[in-house]
Amino acid sequence: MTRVITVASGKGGVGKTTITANLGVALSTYGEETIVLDADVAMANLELILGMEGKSITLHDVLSGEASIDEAIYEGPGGVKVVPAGISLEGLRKIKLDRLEEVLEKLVEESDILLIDAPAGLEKDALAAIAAAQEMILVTTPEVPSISDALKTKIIANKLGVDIIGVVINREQHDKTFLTIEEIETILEVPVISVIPDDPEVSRAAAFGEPLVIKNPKSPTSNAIMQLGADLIGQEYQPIEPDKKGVIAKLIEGLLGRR
Amino acid sequence: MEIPITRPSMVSYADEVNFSELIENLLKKRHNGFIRVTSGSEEGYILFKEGQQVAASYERYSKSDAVAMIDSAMENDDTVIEVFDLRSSYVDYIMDVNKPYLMEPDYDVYGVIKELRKPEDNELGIDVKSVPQTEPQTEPVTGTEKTETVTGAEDNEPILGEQETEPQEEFESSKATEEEEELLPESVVGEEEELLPESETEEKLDLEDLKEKFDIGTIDDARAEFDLKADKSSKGTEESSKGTKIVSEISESPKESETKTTEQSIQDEESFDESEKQELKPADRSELMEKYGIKEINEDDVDDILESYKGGSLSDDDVEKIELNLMNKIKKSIYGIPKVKGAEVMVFLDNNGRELAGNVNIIIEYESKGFLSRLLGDYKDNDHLRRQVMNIVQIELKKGFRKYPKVFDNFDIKVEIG
Ligand SMILES: Nc1ncnc2c1ncn2[C@@H]1O[C@H](COP(=O)(O)OP(=O)(O)O)[C@@H](O)[C@H]1O
Ligand SMILES: [Mg+2]
Repeated sequence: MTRVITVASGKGGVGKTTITANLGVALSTYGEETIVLDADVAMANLELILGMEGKSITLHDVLSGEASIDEAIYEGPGGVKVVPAGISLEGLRKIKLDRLEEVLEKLVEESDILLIDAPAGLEKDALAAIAAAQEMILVTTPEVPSISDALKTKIIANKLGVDIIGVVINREQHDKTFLTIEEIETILEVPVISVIPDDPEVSRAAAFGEPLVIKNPKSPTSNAIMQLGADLIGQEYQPIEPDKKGVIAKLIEGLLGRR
Repeated sequence: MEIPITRPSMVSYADEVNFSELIENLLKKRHNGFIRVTSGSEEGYILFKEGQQVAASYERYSKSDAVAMIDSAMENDDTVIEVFDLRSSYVDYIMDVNKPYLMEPDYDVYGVIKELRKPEDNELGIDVKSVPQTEPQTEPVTGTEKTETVTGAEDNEPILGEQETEPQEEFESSKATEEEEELLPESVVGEEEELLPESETEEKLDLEDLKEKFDIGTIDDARAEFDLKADKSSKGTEESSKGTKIVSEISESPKESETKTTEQSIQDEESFDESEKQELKPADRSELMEKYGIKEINEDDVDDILESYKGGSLSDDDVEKIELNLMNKIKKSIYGIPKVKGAEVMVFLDNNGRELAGNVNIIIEYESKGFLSRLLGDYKDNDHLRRQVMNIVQIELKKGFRKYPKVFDNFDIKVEIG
């Protein structure tokens, strides 16, 4: 059965799109037929991160009846399939929300995993993205505003009957973060399933339009995301040794929540 | 942003100050005031309340966009950064007059600025690290001053969150020098000196007084007003004659655990490691929430958020209530129309579609008229009455669905006049 997983955060700029894109690539490299649906239009950068901008047929065209969903699915790096949004789901709702359900059904048929990059905030479009999925990955940075929004998002997801797989802590800075992993876990009452370091490579990769897991698979960040992907589907993952010694130790430390 | 410029408590150039650390320090100090950033001809402001960024502007940008602009302005070494102090009541007022620039609640500039952080910044960004590099001659002086100030202050307890200390106290513990005063515009310095003795009582001014002063007084009055505060914080650092460097040490505050909570007290350098360790202690959830100032999410809030999605659709119970309510309101208004003898109002809501929709059917009994008037103008009267009734219905619907004005378009209204 296809899994529909929304990556949501509440607060914007915490790395949802980065994680969705890379996780999508990771899952496809494990052989899962993965479709990433971009629902984050205000910051429509999923395509940028995957180096696939400028696609002319978007979800919007599909929903307004001008194209079929097959035309809006593009193949990206690592074999991940991507559906660009084109317009906010809120906008879509006004046009043809019934069609969105049809589209989701179609996407579900064609994939093993449908990943939805949710918009920030808790506006209608964000809620639609949350409600559309059965499962959710919560992304937060180890900072108060982000955690506080994540908490809100979590509670809403609970209300909507969405299973929360866990929280991904992004941009963890060894020794320098506001809250510890344990503290975040305690506050959110959701297990931490991944800790992704704060890594300048992330922005660099985005600028290159190449997902980090492909551009630099040895980096701790890539390893963390690959591991997350593996965990999601119950696969084994052997971290790729980075050239620099000690980084892995740091990563493991990070994953264990040590400081 | 509309902010009266007073005397800054710190002035530095972008290449001398680690901006992210500055922000962190202000956070830790629960700073009330603002930062002005001047890059060439462009100016930006970030307003702080209890250390949190509450508003920002940069030229035509506002809120987080402005913060991003300010952040990128830091790349220009010549960008001037000034820190100004305000009383907290005054910050409220400034927020009031600068509504368009207010951040969304909980907005965090920290993430944006974090990237500027250096890995080994156990030291303070401004004086210890940056200044000596560019201005070696200031180092010994500022360094010494700083140490003295820090140790002299009473708020050096390392225990996290257990001490309530007003940030000003630390500022007050420093002393002004003549050199700095010369760096400031004559008028400002003059006014400030005149008002200096009042500073203790000024402290007690309430918001109303402040508003009044600000509204009525000239800019200079307002400046003077602020100077009282700024002055306190601006005492303290020997300056190299080379120019506008540090007027005082905003970043004297030690560097340590980086909680954002308002309960957070000021701590000193030594406490860094210690508080870090403390964070490792398993803490109870509610304690943690309190420590970090995270609010428990209210069920009603969540319901409201979900309600917003439904665009006004409701539970069946609610539907009946609303139908009845609308019916009564419409009826009442219709009876207010002269010559209306009776009215039957039916409201049906359809809650099954994507959006709430409805029908309103109205039958009106109109006072019968003489046959002459009926001949001449009854049909016109009827039209008029129909429009009047339509209006009433529309107004009631709009009132009833104020939160979801779009719902109103989904209503079908029929008026029959008998
Ligand atoms: N782990 C990371 N380390 C460093 N920068 C990151 C990391 N994750 C995301 N970023 C950067 O943060 C910014 C926001 O990320 P993005 O994925 O667009 O967030 P969101 O989708 O939540 O708005 C981007 O510039 C991105 O490059
Ligand atoms: Mg995004």
